[in-house]
Amino acid sequence: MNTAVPSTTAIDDIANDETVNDVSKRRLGFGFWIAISWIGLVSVAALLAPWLPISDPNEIANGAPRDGILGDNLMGTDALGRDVFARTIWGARISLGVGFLGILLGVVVGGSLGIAAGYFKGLTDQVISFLAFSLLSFPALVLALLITASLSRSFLTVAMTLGIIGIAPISRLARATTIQFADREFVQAARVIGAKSRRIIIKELLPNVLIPMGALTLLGMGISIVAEGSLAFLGLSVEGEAISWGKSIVDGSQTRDLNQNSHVAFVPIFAMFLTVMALNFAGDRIREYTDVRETAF
Amino acid sequence: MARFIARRVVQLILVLLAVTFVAFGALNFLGDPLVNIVGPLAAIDYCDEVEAGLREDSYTSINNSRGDCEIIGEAKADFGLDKPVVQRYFTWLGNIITGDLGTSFQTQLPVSEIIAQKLPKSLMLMVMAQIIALAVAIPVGVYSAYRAGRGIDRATSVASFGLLSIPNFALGVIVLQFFALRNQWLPASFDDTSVGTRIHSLILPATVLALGIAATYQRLLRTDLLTTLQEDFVHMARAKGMTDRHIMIRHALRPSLFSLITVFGVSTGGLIGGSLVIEGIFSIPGIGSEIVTAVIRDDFPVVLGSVVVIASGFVVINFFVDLFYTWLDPRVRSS
Amino acid sequence: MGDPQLTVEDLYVRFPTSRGTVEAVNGITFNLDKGQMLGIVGESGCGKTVMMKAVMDLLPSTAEVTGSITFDGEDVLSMDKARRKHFYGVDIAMVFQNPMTSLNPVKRIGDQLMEGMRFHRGLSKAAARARAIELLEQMQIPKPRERIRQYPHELSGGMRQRVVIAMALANDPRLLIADEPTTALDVTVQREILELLDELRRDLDMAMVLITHDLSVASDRTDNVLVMRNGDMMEMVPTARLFDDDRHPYTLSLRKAMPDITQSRGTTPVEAAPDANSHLRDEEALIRVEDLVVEFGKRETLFRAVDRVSFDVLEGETLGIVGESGCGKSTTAKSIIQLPEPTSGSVRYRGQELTELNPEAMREVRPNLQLIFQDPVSALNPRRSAWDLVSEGVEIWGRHGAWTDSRIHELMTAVGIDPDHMDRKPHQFSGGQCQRLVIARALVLDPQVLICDEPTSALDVSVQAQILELLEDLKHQYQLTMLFISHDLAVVRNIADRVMVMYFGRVVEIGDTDSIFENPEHPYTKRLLSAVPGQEALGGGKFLGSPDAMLGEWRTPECRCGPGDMPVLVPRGPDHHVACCHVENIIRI
Repeated sequence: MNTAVPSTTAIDDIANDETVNDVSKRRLGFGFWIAISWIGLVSVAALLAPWLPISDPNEIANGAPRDGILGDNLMGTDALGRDVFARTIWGARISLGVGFLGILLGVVVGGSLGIAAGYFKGLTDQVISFLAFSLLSFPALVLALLITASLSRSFLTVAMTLGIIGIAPISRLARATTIQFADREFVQAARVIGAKSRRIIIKELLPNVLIPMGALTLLGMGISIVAEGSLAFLGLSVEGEAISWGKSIVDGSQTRDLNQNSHVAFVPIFAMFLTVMALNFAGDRIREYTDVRETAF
Repeated sequence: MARFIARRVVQLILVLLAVTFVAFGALNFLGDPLVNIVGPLAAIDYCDEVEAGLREDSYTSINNSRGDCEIIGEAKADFGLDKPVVQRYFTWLGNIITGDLGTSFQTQLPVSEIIAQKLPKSLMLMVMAQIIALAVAIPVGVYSAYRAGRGIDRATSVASFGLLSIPNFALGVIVLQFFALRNQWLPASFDDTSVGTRIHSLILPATVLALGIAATYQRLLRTDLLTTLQEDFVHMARAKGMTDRHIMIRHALRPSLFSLITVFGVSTGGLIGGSLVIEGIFSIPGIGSEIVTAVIRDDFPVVLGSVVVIASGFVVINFFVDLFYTWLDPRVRSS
Repeated sequence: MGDPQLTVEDLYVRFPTSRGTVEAVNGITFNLDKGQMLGIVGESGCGKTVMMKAVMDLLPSTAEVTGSITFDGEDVLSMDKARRKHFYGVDIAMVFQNPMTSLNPVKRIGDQLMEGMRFHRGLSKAAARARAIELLEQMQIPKPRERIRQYPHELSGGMRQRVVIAMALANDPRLLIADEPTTALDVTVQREILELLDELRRDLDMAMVLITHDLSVASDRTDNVLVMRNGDMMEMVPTARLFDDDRHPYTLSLRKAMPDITQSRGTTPVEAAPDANSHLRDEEALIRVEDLVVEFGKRETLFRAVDRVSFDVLEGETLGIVGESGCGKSTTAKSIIQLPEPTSGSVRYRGQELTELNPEAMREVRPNLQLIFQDPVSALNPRRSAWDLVSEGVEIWGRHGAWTDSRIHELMTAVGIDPDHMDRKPHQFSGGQCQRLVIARALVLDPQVLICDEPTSALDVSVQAQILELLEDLKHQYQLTMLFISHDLAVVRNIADRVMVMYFGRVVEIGDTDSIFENPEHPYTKRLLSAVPGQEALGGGKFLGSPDAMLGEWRTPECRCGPGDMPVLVPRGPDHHVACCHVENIIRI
């Protein structure tokens, strides 16, 4: 386990450790950069979709309906002859968009609430924890359904919904991390040398809490993207002509299409799978990488 | 222990109150309850003005019969919408405690009857999914921890990671296409003929739901086992000359199950969400499909009733998981 | 040479890692005769545990073990599978350092005791249970029939270690390896466990290896001592000759680093107050604590950690606070700086009542009263550099007067941190260096008082000696007043002018260091002193009954305190007070 101090005191640690794999922890690794490149590529494609040389995603009979993946269009067409590749790129706009905005809302609101609860304790903690506990008592998708059921489902309301379902679990995590560090002796040490609460939160707690939260943002964005897909299956994703990966997968999974023309569903599934996996992988690596070792002896 | 349970029961009741309030509140505040109750009528604002005496009710004069405003007015009185929200909440709460969940707008059937008919199918799906998940995850988790760092462990880690990254609906669509449509090895939709056909037709959807959860369980169990295997009492057992098998199962497994048990409760929530979606994909007439239809048709009592039943069930499951957890750890049990 | 039980020849243990091979044990050879006790001594990381784990086949599969290990004529490393199955736990057994973690928390003690007997000897459940009860009796554990149904957490640390020993002895091993069996225990319990082990070894005619970092523990009971360093064997000597002058230089340095409890500091104590009726000497004391009470929890979980404690500290002196874990010594000292805030009582610093200050006013006082933590690693924010950590006080209070960057430089040099290492993070320093950083961080604020809460208990003995020396130097250089909390009486004797002995939240004896160590009056102080390893007992005598029966009781033979009596501190010398109930029987001066 020991890495930083090349001293003989590492021996007992090593003797106690079944798997000696210390190097992998110190580097982000090749896989991480591949994951980040994929996320970057998809994000750029999503942002630039209107200017990319691709077909109009909503144009009917862009090619022959139900054209196969090896047909005239790059990745075939769907039942209405719309270009699957173009729809997947346009779908990334909404899927990544609601995913990012959602997790941002969740981390900002949930994170602040959690840190406040964990640091101030007492009544603040009790109120926030009870609220979080009540929200957590709903299965996430049921809560999302409750919120979106009576609203008109625009891009913003869907993003907001995804954010709200993230608040409770994120605040719980932030609270636990804060408490874990607030009880540590270095926080007491700061108080002993006369630091004020504000300084302790900013200088001692935040750096330790924010980094795990950063990794969580990546993991959470993946979860949000998946949640949008689930909402689409419930008919509760963004309304109208707007395209998302979730809606594209729903379109392609009608029994007849799925049987004969499975690529209509499989192309967006694959895009979503790769993106979520890249986010999970990058998040995991960052978490491991920034997990500072605290025992050198 | 008795004191502990008593405190937990009080907590349970408080949370159940909060859950019902959130559910009731969400459907009453986010949308207009009138729309939810009488369906989408164009004239609600207009009728408010009529009621306030600002104008004549032209609908009545045109139709010379029951105008929309009259219907709205009746609905308001019937559902007590002229009363404050908190009062309405308690009236509704009183009703659901006595088992009255309201009546469906669409079918005019009591909501409790609809739920009683649909819920067992969903429960069966979820129970099967949990059984499959645990049956896969525990042996694989134990074995991968035992072989930590070796080929078999690396392979399961990669597989788990992949399973965690694939959304259950995507897996559902792929599995449906391959196993049911292209190859027809297993049925693509629910068959209610007998217990046997029910189980048979639920194998695919339950497996789809189980795989993601199994991956979570496996990763968790492996990590916890690796931590436990570093403990002194494991070295002690080895020094006593006990076999690896005995140590893994008799010493290490039980203290490593605690996080898995906690997550068992939480994952039930994911399972409920997953079954909402999977029921649609595999045409299972369970409570999930019912809610989805009800939302589309603005069948407010069915949505509210089902959500409250599901959320309460989830809370109660976690309550028991908590108790079980406490019972399993003698250190907590005695304090 | 007699009949060898265990022979280790030219043993090497290597761990291949990504940074190259770590050589943990380098060609060690030794012999342990039947019925003998061998001490293996060395600092952490010297390979002593790894070597015995190699004997026990407990090393991870990545370890490369070469050489030969012979147990009673059998070659251990090439033993066949069938023999191996019933070798460990039968012929040879091991006891580990921490009894709190050596027992499975979710299994009953009886089941853990019985499983080895049932597996190796095929005993029936009833026979195994009978043997388990017999073993616990042998370990002097009261009520063994009830114990076997209990879980480990229901037992005290000493009791647990007895259970662990019972487990190891279940199948009558011929060799017992004890790896720091008492390091995690209080000094009085340590003595009992070591005595028990010694007794068992003689009764059962068993050979034993005692691994320890503490030369004095080894010197009390072993026949031979093997000294290791960095995986090498320094020397192996008969214990009787351990304190000869012609020992290996490393052994000499270990001996030198050991604080010596018999050594008087020779300092004259601060002049005692004329009023002998009070152990509080001076109204103008730098710190004066009166009737301090600290309670934790509420209602049914209420626990009084500090119970009506009074003492004073004069400017420039070092007060040592000693006692066993849970006696309230740390809480007492830390509640002076209001962490935690006392439940009641008064704490005055330079006449200022600290308990009445609001948080901001208290904050203004804090720079004067600094704390050195027990675990330096957790006292340093892992994400900040050494420079940031040390200069933090200056950042908070602003650079003015002497508080400049050059002062920070000066202090870092003074505590022995290379200024080139200022960009490093805490995990890049060793434990001793981290403690130096903690000290520098405290001294930057130019404090009057340094509260040291077991500052060396997490460190190796040679590092401990360096840190103690550093504290002593800094004390004179910066004219500090110190409160020094420790469970290690020898350390306190070497550093403190006065000593306060605490037991269950109360002061049982306080006074001038030499007077307390040479003429202890309170039976608890005597017991503590007699339990210190590496010396002849000071005549404290054994307490009646088992240690558990003592808990919370003040019934001491000389003072005759009843359970409800509140003892008071009565004078026994110019600066020596002892807790007692029946004052008329004790005043002799």
